Amino acid sequence: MEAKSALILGASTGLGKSLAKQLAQKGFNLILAARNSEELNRNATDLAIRYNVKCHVVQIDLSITQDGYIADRFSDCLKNQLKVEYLFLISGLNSDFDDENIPDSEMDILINTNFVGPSKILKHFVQYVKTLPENSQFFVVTASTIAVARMRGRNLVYASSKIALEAFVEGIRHATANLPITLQTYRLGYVDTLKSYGQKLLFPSLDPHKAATKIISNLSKPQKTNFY
Amino acid sequence: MYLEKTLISFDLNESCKTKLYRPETYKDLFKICSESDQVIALGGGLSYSLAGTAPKATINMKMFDRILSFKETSEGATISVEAGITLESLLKFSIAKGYFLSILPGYPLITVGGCVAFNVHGKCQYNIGNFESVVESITLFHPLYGTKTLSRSENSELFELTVGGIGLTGIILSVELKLKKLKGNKLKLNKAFVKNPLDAVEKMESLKGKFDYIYSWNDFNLNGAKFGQGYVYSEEFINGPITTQSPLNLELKEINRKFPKVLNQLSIPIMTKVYAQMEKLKSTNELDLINGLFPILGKEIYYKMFGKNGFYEYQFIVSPENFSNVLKQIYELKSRLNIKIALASLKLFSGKQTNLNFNGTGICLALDVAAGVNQKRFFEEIDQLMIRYNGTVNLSKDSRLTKETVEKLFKNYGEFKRKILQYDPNLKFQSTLSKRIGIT
Repeated sequence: MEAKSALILGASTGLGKSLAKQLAQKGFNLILAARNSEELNRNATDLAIRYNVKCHVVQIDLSITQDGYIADRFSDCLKNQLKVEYLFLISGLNSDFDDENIPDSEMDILINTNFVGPSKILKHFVQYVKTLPENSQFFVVTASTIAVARMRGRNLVYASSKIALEAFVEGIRHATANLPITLQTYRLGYVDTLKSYGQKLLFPSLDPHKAATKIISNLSKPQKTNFY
Repeated sequence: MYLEKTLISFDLNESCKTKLYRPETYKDLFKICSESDQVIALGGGLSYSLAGTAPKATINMKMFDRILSFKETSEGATISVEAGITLESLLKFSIAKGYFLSILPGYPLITVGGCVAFNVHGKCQYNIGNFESVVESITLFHPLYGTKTLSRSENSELFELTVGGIGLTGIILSVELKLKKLKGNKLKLNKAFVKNPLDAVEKMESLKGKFDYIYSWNDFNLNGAKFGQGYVYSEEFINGPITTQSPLNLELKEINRKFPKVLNQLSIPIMTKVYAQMEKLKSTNELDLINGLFPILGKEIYYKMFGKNGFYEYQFIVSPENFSNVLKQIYELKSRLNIKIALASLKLFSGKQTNLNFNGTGICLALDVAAGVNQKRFFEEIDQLMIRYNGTVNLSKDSRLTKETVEKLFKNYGEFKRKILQYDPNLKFQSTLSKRIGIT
């Protein structure tokens, strides 16, 4: 039987890296995408050696808005190597300057990385699903944030972008009702990453490994928004 | 971001408040190194001294645990791994492929970076040397020099300074290691009763070359002619298929002071007596590979039973000619100071002492005692014995040695210090250990 394949956006660190590891353990072939290609290459090498799976690396900068950029980044993998059935849009970027005084250029980067880029990838893969044979299934997991539940002055653009992404996913859900796509969105809070490490947080931080286990175990559940 | 944390040595006798960083990318790792005045890399955190902790910045290397290459060769295999990988993680992979690391320290959560920094030894040092024997090359980062590859043929002086360099030459990023083909994944454990430590040494000498691992357990709480009687253990691989190892239950992830003190003056001799009786009754047995490679596994409670004050360990090597004299004086000292010894274990050593490495040719003895005033004095007296008899002391097993003592114990002390200063004039890489012993 052919191994399943998954594309993980944001696979260089944190939750994306943990998802990649656990999926590789389960025998998934992977396309790992992120901005930092050096870390991605090391992750891909490690997973390919340890678990004997195929790992492809796609270096992608979501702040680039050029027409056709997204399609171009994934075209090689999709054409020649892997049939993707799972798409994990885990990437996220926040900034220390993300309040009402954020410079325009920084604001653009946050919007493009947290909303425009992932939305374009999702749009791209909807077209891809239309080309898949009958009886195919396609799963999309999107990482949002608990910050969207109540907007605050901090992480203003980040959370706004994630709200926009959630809205976009809902729109896609409606638009693709006749396609075999399952969409799940997680509102994650305080994931234990370099950014949150050492900070005094309101709640205990979320172990990326545990979160990845939960996300993978939920893949078989019906589509809905999940809170975590 | 960093975490303000007080880190404690494994023996619970040295502590240091530090800014603990946990980078996940090389970019962040290099940035922390460049921006901190003084920094050190932390591996498994299981050293008995605070070798992986510095007051200003400590970098936890646990996120750098990837396998970077694996190649099978005619003699075995080579594997390149990041320094933060634990021996458990490495062995889980390599055993499944039919290979293992032939030199292993006591616990599977020790990292490869830590093994290099202390040039650790295993239970077959007399035969294949210290960890350097399995190291092909090292990738090292220092903000002054960038990333360098070190081996016996490339940057060889820096290679020698880094292996056993207690982390003072920079951040070990990755290590290329030689792996040995496994004959099987079970070990046969043989044991022989010995009347005293000298008898044990004689027995171990006679077993050299016939077995893969040789070590002893001796009861140092017995007096007179029975002092140090015990068992010599020899282990050999059993040919057979490589089967999946059962998952490990690793208990030493966190060092804590919460366990009540069970081991004291009264209970230690009882414990050693009970252990000896149990060994007498146990027949020769087979060990699964992991338990054979790591004898402490499953016996972690032993360390916890020393309670909140912890324990001291002393591990030394003395020449065979001096061993008998040293032993006599240890017996007198322990009797005079009324010291109860929780563990005494012998190994054979063969090698040359370099840097501040624990290496040399002779007999190696490890002693554990519950921490206390008299016990500290006992070890201070052994320090003097080591100075007198040109012994070598294991710095990774000690949290109390002073600069003055270390200077007298290691004839390479001055040269090592000079080389470190020459390589790193700003002494960017410093630890609580390197400060205590006056290297930085």
